[in-house]
Amino acid sequence: MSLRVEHLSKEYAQGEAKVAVLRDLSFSVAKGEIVAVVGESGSGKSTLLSLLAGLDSANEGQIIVGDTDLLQLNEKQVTAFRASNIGIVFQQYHLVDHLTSLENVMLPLEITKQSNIRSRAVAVLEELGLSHRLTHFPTQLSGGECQRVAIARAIVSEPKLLLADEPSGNLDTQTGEKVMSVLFDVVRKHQITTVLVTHSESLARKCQRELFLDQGQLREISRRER
Amino acid sequence: MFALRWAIKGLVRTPGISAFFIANFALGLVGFLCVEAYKDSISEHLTANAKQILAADLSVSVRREFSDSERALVRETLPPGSEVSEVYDFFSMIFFNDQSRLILVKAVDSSYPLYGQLEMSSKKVVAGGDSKDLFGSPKIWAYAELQEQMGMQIGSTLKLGNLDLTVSEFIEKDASQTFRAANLAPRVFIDRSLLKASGLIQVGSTFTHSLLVRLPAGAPSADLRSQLFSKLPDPAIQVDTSETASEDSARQLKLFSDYLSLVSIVALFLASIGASYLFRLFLSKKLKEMAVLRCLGVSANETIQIALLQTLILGAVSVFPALILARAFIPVFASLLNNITPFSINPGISGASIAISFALASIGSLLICLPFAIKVRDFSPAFLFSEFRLPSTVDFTNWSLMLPAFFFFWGLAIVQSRSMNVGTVFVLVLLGFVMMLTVLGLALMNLMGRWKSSTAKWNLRYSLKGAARRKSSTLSVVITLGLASMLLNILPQLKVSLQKEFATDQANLPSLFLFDIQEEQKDALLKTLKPHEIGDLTMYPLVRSRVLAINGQPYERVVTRDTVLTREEEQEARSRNRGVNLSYRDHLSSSESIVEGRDFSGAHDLNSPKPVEISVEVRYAERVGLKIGDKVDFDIQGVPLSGQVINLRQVKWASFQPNFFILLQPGSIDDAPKTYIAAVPQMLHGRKLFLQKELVKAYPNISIIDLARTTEDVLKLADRFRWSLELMAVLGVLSGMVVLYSVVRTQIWLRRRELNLLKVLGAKLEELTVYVMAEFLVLAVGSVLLGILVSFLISFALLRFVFNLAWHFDWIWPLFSVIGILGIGCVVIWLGSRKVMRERPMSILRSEL
Repeated sequence: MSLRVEHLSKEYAQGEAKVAVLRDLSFSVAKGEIVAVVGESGSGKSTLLSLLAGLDSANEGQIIVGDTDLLQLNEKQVTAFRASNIGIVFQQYHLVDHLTSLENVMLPLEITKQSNIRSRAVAVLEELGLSHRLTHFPTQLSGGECQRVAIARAIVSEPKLLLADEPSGNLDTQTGEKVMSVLFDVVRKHQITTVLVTHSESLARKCQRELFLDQGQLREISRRER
Repeated sequence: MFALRWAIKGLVRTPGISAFFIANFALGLVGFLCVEAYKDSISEHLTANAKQILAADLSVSVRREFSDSERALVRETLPPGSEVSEVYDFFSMIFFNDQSRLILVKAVDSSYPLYGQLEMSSKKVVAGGDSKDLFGSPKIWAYAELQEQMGMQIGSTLKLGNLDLTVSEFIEKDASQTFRAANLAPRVFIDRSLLKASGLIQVGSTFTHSLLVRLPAGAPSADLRSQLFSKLPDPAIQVDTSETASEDSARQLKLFSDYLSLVSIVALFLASIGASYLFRLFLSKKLKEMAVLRCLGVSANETIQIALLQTLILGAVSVFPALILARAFIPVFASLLNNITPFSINPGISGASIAISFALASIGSLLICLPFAIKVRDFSPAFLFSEFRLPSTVDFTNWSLMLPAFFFFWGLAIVQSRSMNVGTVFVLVLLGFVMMLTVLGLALMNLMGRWKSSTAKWNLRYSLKGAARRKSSTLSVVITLGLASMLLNILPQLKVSLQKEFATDQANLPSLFLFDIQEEQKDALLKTLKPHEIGDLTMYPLVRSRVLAINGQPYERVVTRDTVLTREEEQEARSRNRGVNLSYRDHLSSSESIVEGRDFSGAHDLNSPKPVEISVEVRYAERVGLKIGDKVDFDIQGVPLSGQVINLRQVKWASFQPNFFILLQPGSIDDAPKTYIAAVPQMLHGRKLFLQKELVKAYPNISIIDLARTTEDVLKLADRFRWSLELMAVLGVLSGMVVLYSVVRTQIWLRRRELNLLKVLGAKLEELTVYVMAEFLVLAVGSVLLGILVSFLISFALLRFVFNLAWHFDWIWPLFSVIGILGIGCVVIWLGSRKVMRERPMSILRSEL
């Protein structure tokens, strides 16, 4: 499933004044492509991700995932669409502390009332090398393991679009590289369209394309610019 | 289904907060369950013993002698096979062994009681059909307390009016008695045929004549009641079925239990404040989880559903520990209240009470947490992205979301007090307290925040600053502990002030109160009193009448068939069905003052077309709906009289001077048939007893109330009520302590980083202990002192403006409550903080919080 963003703008009100966070953004990501979004802190990367996830509303523009314009859906529709089509990985993992690894991964399948919940969750965790950590709680896992559980949770419902927000930002270099390698393997294997926000140049270089977000505007970084 | 499973899972996996929420709400419910059990046991007793309480199926009564035609009318209306017993009830004096005593005489015939029985000290049980030694010879049955109070024995001869009667039985248990009014006037039973010879009932005497009826099986007593009401022309005639009579006879008990319910609502209210604070914390901890759920496909409404389900579940679960605690409390409660009723109470928690508690706990908890639960909707899951920051707490600014909880407590107060007015005033006063404590709490926080001292240590300064900056948690403690300490202090303040007022006013209080003085006894009585040097004794005329119409609208008898009436409806029905005692005087007594209108314009001229001027006691006027200028038509023993209200009077009833609800202009009813009442001024105890003896001997029909004894008895009874109310207040304090513990634990948990950082920066454990203890102790002391201050203000306002009495300062109880609450508070703070205080700093600082 491809992603197409057309003339996307987002403003926030700050008292009387309005601050433009994203200005007339347009870009597209082909099915199965992995695109990195880079930029300085406060450049609007997280805002872009929250719009792509359907968690926020834009002032103008279109976000077309497959054939669906997210911004035309109501809250109920966008919630259902996200549950079936979009997976999200966060920098802080955001696992539910009182659930085991397995339960955390089963959660999206339970919410969307799918079948074979347990076996599918176990299979994904095994694929990510966590078969020995099924019954562990997040507090009993290392940072890398937590992030792998978070990736497993994001892909278990077989999303068409994966949004990753600084997925290795909380990890040391070595662990980060390992986790990202797992992530790339999985998204490639399942042909998941991926948008990855990162500060890491090395990680961005591993993606097929890089988009640079600066003061609310986006431009593509060609490999030659490096 | 997912929402329910997730809600349960969330609660189970957060056992600490869930347990505190449940414990907190359970404490709030305990008082409610105890009061419900008490109310139920009274209602059950009344329902099961309704006929025994009335001693009949139906009673027709009037405060005079029935005429022959009325008797005949009653008998005609009754179905064949009905049995009738005639009874006269009145207060009188007995004289024995050189002592006299006010008693309630029941002059009965041999068929009494038509239902129920009398249990004697001799173990004999006497019912209606049994042969009785009371009849045929001058004998008397007396309540057993007279045996001890006056030293009587079986076979003793005592004097009642003109009769010399021999005590043949002492009564241990009387099925018709529902309220033990501190033994104000123990009952005696005599043969009705002796009444004439006794000379006790004369023209204008205060007595009730009743025709008690046993109906044949299946006869509809309620229908007969309606028929009798329509056939008997005099509205002063009261007709009661066993059901209406038992309701009426237990009025004082119900009034008391209604007020007890209101105090139990305060405990529930305090628990609710604690619960909402805990739920706010619970949701704050769950914000990340909720945001994750939203990202995974759960809608915003579903997250609200989850939060609301959790409040419902927590509320409902809290009923279980509440039931266990209530079972432990009920025996204590019952032992405090058992002396009030002549029948023993064994309160048990009924299925209905449990069901009500479940509804109350679930709905109450849901409504009190609603503002926070709804706020969850506003949190965007986008907070989870790295550039945003997850809010640390859930707060709401839309105060209209509190309205459902307000209406819930309002409705509950109205239902529990069975009064729109009392319930509304109660909720408004409670709201007023909360607002007052909020304002005072904010002022305290302001002071704490501004406090600068160059000599004070850093830990003390920062500690107070911290408390001042955490407004919501500080206010939760101030309101809960403040209200609890106010509750603990307000009743003792009132009691001490009343006691001191009686003590200081002792010299002005009458010694004896005389009533039923006949016109022809006036002069002789004054002569009898003259050697006792008691100065001028004023006798106040008392004329029986009834109100016919107000402003031309007939003031008719209300026949109620509804079993559920509000207190106002009951009061209204009672005042309409009863006659009113009038008096006249040309000047106001020292215990009354005009609050609106003008004084009487001299004596009334019977030939003048002007209406008679009327003065009405201000609260009676409110109850009946009278105002200045209203026209009132009276029937004064067959003679009509019209008058106009010209003033409203405030009466200081605690002065125990003879006062009346309605006073008429002098000259208007001076010639009407009347009796007199008089108050004998203060005198030495020995001389008082001697005078009382002399009066009883010389005027056996005059009833005498010994005021010192009566006030002592009433205060004793009030003390029993007070202790049971205090028990409810203690539950409030316990709720307050749970809130304090929750606040301490929460704040310490939220500030783990800060505390451990201070350890890393070199703070010693003792300094940190002061840092934590000072903040919460200052809060606890501040809250308790504010509560005491508010209790002073409220008790002052009540005494000054409601009872019209002076307020007296009492320091003992406030001191005890400060020491008690602070003692428990220190333990609670230590328990709540000790775990974090002992943590190793680096492990926390390194970990992800």
